[in-house]
Amino acid sequence: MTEQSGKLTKEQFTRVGVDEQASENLVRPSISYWQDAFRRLKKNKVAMASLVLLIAIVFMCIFAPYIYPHPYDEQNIEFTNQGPTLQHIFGLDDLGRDIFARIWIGGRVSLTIGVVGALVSLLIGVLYGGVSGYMGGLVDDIMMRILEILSGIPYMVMVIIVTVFLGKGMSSLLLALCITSWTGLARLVRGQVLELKECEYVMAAKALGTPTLKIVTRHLIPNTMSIIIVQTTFSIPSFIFSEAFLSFIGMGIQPPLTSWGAMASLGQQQMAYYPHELIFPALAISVTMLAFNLLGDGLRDAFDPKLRQ
Amino acid sequence: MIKYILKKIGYMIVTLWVILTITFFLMNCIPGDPTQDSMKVLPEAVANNLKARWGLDKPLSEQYVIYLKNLLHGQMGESYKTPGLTANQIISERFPASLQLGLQAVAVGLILGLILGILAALHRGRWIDFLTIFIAIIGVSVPSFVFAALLQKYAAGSYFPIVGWSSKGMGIGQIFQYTFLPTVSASISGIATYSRFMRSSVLDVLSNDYILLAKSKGLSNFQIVKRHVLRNAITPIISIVAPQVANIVTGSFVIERIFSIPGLGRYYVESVNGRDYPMIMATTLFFSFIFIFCMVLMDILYAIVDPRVRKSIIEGNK
Amino acid sequence: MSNLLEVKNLEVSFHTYAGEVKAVRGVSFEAKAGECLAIVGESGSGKTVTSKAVLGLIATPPGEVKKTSEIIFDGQNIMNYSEKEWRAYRGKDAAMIFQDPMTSLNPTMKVGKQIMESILLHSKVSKDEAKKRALELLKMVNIPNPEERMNQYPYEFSGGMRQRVVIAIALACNPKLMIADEPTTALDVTIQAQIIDLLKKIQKENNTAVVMITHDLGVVAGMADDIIVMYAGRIVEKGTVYEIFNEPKHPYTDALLKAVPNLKNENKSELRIIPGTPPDLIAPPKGCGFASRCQYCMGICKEQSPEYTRFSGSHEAACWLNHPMAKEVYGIKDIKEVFEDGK
Repeated sequence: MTEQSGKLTKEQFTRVGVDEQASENLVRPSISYWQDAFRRLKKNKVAMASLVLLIAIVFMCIFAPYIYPHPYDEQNIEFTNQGPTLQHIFGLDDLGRDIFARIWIGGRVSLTIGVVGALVSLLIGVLYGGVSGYMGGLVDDIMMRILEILSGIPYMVMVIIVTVFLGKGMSSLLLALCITSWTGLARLVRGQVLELKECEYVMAAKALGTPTLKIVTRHLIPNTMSIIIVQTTFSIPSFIFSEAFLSFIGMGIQPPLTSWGAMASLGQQQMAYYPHELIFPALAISVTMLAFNLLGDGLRDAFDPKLRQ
Repeated sequence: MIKYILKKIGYMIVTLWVILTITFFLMNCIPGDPTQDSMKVLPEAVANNLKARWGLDKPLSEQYVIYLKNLLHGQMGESYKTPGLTANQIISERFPASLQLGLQAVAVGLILGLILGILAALHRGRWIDFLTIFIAIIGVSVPSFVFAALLQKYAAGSYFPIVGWSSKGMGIGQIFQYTFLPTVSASISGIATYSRFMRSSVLDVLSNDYILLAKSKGLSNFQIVKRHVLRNAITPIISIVAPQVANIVTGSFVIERIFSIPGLGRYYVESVNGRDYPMIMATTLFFSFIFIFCMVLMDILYAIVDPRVRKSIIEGNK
Repeated sequence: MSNLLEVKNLEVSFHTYAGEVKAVRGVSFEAKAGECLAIVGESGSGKTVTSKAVLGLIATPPGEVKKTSEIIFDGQNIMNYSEKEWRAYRGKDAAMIFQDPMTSLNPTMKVGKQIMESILLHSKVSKDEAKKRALELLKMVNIPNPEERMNQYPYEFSGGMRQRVVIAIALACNPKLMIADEPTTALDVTIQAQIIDLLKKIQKENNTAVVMITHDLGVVAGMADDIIVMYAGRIVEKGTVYEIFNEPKHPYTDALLKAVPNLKNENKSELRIIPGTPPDLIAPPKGCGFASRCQYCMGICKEQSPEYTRFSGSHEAACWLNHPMAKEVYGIKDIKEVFEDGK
C-alpha cells in the first residue's frame, strides 16, 4: 500500500485505544427541524433574493404614492401615450396617466387579492382537511363527497356566477376565487393528517394518554406546517395570476380602481403603437410571480427532509 | 371497473345538478327581469307577452321544473338578447373553435412539455436541463396574454395572420397558418408546467432499483427510457395534468379575445356583460360539463395506465 | 481452478458538492466459477459500489472509476469495453440481484414480460420460445402456478416471491457471474433461508460464480467459500470461510464476529457493539481507516496505512498488530492472543 519507511520505532506501537471524543465527533450537532430549514433557506441565494425583491415590491406598493410626485389619477391630456421619460419613468397611458404611479396602486389590489385569497383558502382548507382527516369515518366520507362536488366546478364558472349575482369588482372576485381554491389544500392536509394518524409516534402519544389537543398542537400541526407554508407561498401567485386573467377579460377589477391585470388589458389594446403600456404592468406581474415561485421552490427544498444533509 | 366508471359518472351528474340549481336560483334572485333590462321601455302589453313567451309569468319552482325538463330533452333555452336564437345553436356554432384551440394547445403543451421534461431529467445538469428549468420558470411567471400580445406585435405582417381563426373549407396549410399563433400562446403555460413535473417525475423513477435492474439486463438507455421510465413517470403526471387540461379546453378566454377568435369563451363573457341570463346558464352548464367530463376521463385513464390503481379500484368496489 | 473474475486495484470516487468521496480505495479480489465469494462490511464500506463497478453500473457523473483500475472477466479487461460490449456483457455474462425486491421490479410491467425482456435481448429466439424459457425459470425458482403468475404485476407478489422473480431475471441467460447485493436483507428470516438455498442450488447446478454482498455473517457462513471484509473503502481482511471465522487477523473482523448473536457465545448476557461511526470518505484518514474505533489502536495506526500480511495462500489482513514489531512489544506470537486475552 503506502511506502513504508522501514524504520519503525517501538513507541509507535504503544496502544492508544479508542479516543471516545474523536469517534463521537463525527456525529453532527443536533439542530431542530425549523432551525435546519431556516438555515437551508438562508443559504439559498435565489430564494433570499426573491424574498428581498418581494419585500421591496410590497414597500413600494405601500409608500410609492407618498414619495412619487405624480398621483395615479392625474391626467396629462396633452401627452397621452407618451413613452418613458425622465419625468414619467414608465411613460403615460392612453388617458395621460402616469404608469409608474399606477403600477403601485394596481399592485395594492393585486397583492391584496393574492395574500387575502391565499390566507382565506389556507384557513378554510386547513380546517376542513384537518377536521375531515382527524374525525375519519362517516364525517370524513361526507366531507369528502362535498369536496368532490365543489372541486368539480371550474373556477371560471364560479367567477361568472358570483359576478352575475354580486356585480363585478374586487369582492366578488375574491369570493369566487376563495370558494374554488381551498379544495386542493384541504385534500393535502387531510392526506397528511391521515398519514400522521397512522404514524407510530402519534399512536405512542395516544397510548400514553396524551390529550387530543396536545396531540394536535404538538404533533399534527408542526408536521403539516411545512406543507402548508409551501402550498400557501405557491397559492399567492396563482391568485395574482387569476386576478390578472379575469381583469384582462374585463371580469375583474373595474375602473376607477385598477390592478396589474386591468392595466395590462388596457395596454394590450395599445400594444401595436405604444408597447410600454403593456410591458410595464406585464413586468410587474411576471417579476412578482417569478419571485413568489422561486421563494416557494426555496421553501420546499428547505423543508423537504429527504434533502436534509 | 365498470362500477367505478358508473360511480364517477354519478358524481358528475350530481355536481352538474348542484351547479345548475345554484345558478338557476341565483340568476332569478337578481332583481328586475329581462323586459326591464333593455334600453327602451317596453309597453306593458309587449312586456307581458315576452314574459309569457319565456315562461317568466309562472312561479319560480315551476320555471325550475320546466327548465330541468327542457334540459333533459337537450334544450338549453333561448337568448333574451337575440330572440329566436337558441343556446344549442350558439354553442354548436361557437364551441368548435374553442375546442380546437384547447385541444391543439394541450397537444402542443403535452408533447413539448413531456419531451423537454424527459430530456432534462436524462441530461441533468447539462444545457438542456437549464433550458427546461428556464422555460418552466418563465412559463409559469409570464401570463399567456403577454406572450400573445408580444407574438401579435412581432408577427404582424408576417406569414401568420394576427387575428381571426380558421373557417370551414380551409386547407390544412391555411388552418395551420391561422391557428399557429393562438395555439403557441395558449400552450406556453402547459409546456412550462408539464416539463417541470415530468422532469421531477422522471428523476424520481430513475432513482428506483428497477431502472438499475433494467440496466443490468443489458438494455440500452433508449430501451430503458422507452420500456421502464415513460409509463412509470407519466402515471403521477396524470393527476396534475387533469385539471389543467380541463381548464385549458374550457378557458382560453384570454387568447380568444386577443386573437378575435369566435369561440364560446368570448361569447360567455359577452353574455355576462349583456346580462343574457339563459345564455349564461347554458354556457355555465356546458363548460361545467366539459370540465367535469375531462376530469372523469382522466380518472379512468389513470386506472388504465397504473395497474395498482386499477387494483385498488376493483378491491374498493368489492 | 482459474479465476473467472479478477478485480485489481479498483478505485471508485463520487464527485459531490462537498468534494470527492473516495468510496472504494484500491480493492483487489478474485472470484472462481462454481464458488461463492462473500463481501462483508457495514453500510458505506464500499461493498455495493464495488459490485456495481463490476457490472459497469456506476453512474458517471457523479461517479468515476479510476483509469488504473482493472476488472478482468474471462481473461478480458472489461474496463476497456465499449458501451455496446458492456451491454452485451450485462445480463448475459454477468447479472445482478438487488437488495430490495419491493423496488427492483417495474411496477407497471407484467412479471413475465420483465423476465422475457433479457432473454429476447441476448439470444435470438422467438417470443414463444422466450415465454417457454421464462416459464422454466419461474419453475426453477419455485414459483407456484407459473403460467398464471407470468401475467401478473409485481404488486400481486409477496416480497419473497418478488425476490425469486428477480433471481429468475438474473438467471435468464445463464450468466457465468451472479452478483447478489444483500439479497435477503429485506426479507423475513424464514424466507431468507429459502432464498439462500435457492442461490446455493443455482450456483451448484449452473457452475456460476456468485459474489454475495452482505452485512450478515450468518448468511455468509452457510454459503460462502471465500470472504472479503471491507471497511471504509478498503479490504481489511480476506480469507476462506474457515480462516475468517476461526482465525480472524483484524480487529474489525473480530469485532464483527463478536457482534453476531451466537448460542455458543461465552458472553451470553450481551452482544458486543462497535462504538463510533466509519470515517468520512471525503477526507479519508492517513492511517488505518478503523483506527478511530479500534480498541487496540496504536500510535502507528493513525500515521501509516498498514500493509497486507499474508498468513496462507488465501488469507491476508491489513493490521499493524500483525507486524513483527507489535508482536515484540506485546510479547505475543499471534494477534489471537490480543483478541482473546486483551493483551
